[in-house]
Amino acid sequence: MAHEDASSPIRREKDASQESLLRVRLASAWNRFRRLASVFRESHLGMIGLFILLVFTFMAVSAPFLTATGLLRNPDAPLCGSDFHVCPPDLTGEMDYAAPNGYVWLGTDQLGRDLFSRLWWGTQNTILIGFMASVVSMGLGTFVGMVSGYYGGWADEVLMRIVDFFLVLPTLVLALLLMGLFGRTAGLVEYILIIGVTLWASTARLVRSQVLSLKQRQFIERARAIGAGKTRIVWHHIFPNAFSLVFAEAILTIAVAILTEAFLSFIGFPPPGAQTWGVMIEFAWLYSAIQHGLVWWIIAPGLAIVAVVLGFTLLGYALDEIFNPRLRRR
Amino acid sequence: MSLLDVKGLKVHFETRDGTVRAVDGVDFSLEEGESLGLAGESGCGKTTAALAIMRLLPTNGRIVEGEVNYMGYDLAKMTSNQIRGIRWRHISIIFQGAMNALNPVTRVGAQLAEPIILHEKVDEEVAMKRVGKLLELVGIHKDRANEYPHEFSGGMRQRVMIAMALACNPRIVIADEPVTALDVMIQAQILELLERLKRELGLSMILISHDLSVMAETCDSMAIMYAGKIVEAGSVRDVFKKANHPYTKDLIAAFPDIEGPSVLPAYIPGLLPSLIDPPEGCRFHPRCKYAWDKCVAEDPVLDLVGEGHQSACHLNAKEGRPA
Repeated sequence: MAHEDASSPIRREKDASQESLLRVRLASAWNRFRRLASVFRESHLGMIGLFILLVFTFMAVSAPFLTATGLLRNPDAPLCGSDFHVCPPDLTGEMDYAAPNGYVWLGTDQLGRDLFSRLWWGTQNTILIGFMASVVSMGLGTFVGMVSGYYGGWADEVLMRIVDFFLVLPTLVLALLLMGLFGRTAGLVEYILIIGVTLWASTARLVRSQVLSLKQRQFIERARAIGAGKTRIVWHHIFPNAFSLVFAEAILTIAVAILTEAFLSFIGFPPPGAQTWGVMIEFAWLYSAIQHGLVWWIIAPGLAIVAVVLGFTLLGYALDEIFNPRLRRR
Repeated sequence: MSLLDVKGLKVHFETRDGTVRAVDGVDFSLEEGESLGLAGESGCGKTTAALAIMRLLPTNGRIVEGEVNYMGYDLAKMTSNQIRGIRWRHISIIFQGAMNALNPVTRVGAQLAEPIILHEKVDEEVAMKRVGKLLELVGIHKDRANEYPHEFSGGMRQRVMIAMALACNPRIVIADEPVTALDVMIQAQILELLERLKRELGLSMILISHDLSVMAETCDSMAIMYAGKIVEAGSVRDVFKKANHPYTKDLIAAFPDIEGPSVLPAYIPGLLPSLIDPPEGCRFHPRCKYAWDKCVAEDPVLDLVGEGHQSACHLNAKEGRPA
């Protein structure tokens, strides 16, 4: 019998008995991460995507701190005077529709508020709504896909017909329909749920097909043979194998969710109580930004949306390339 | 009484083209500490018979008749909850192409621990200690429990599967083509390992293979299957040296002999018959050089041709047989 590994001096050096189980595991996880990271680094587009997202993440996280330290103006305060200071409480709108200048880089809006500051602050909500909607969509899509794929039979039939219904309706039309039905009374949570619900169907399909192929694999037969029940097989054996795919899909869905939110805001269904780039564009349109010569009121949030969507898309495809063995380049 | 006693086992698969009678009345028994070989060409029902014992048939297959007696219980009639208790604790299986039977995204150690945790309700720490011992048993350093299956070679994964089959100290291990996909060096290692484990742990084993040389090396007794039936059974020595059934003889002749004169190995003309609509009479008669009237008309049954040596062939009949 070959004790090939036991005889190796390198192996013997780090004997598991001297090392805690946790440390060995962490080391192994770290190695795995490093390997994936090195594959990721080879993807230039993925790196660009990651860079874009890091910039936006910085914007999202830093907004409150920058405002607190005075580097960024309060996005909700009307500005006064030629040096664009925050107005005293009794004065409003002295500097409405100011053109971009050295103080306010993108100009001011209809209430004299700093557009640049509003853009910076909008990052948070835009990404957060996109992210949460993607989580909702992935949760629903993964659950339906797993049940449908693993249990099959009539459950599969029924669920897939529901998926078909969601797939044949164009996403934006469906989102509009749901907004028309529930949007007026919806809070932010319901708003996110609505976006999530319009985007889950293709994920369900994707997960289902993955599960169908996974359940034919031999390790599922083995799991059955050792006496594992259905629930255990689904969550311990099938789900971990489908997870990487779902993760890449989740990143891509954030991009779609952000676009959907921007579209809905522009059409007249802004997220309740949240300032996003979509809302900014809607206001620009409502308050005739173009007539006031404030083109950057529209272009800046527009570019921001395009950039963040691009960032998530590039990152999503790069991750897909890593996790999806069929696309992996060797 | 034998440890495992299979009587008149019939397994049918429902397919679009009709009912496939994959296993059609098979009897065999396994004694404590014995290893039994099931041999035959691809598609003759070896694997199906083995899976039927553990009730692991695919959804379109079912046991239509017969008993699988294990320690006084009929496994064929157990409820699915009862059979889950039997699986692995009492009877475990090393799957065909076992190197693909590991979950690619789970650590090897966790997979080995899974049956232990499932069946013995012990916590992870206890299970992981056992995992270390199991790995050492099959000659793998216990540190490697924290690695993933792709970090193992094919032969090592096979050994992991063997270790897994032993995880709950079963009494019977079914090895379904345990060495088929491996190169000859590793084959020898694995067979030696199986042999050693059987000796040390007093396991009973059912070895399934189409490779007669594997059987000759590892088994005490063997049964030759053809088209869902056992055509010859007996001790390995008897079946090899005093082969009675023409199919057994042909099968043996199909293996090259390194000691005899150098001739090309023979082959058996024709194909395995359809199991949806098997031929009348002896199922081997369309391919048999010696077939006569009775072979076409009547299905032969297993008959003693020596002590503990059975064969199902009309050539053994005393009357009416052509010279």
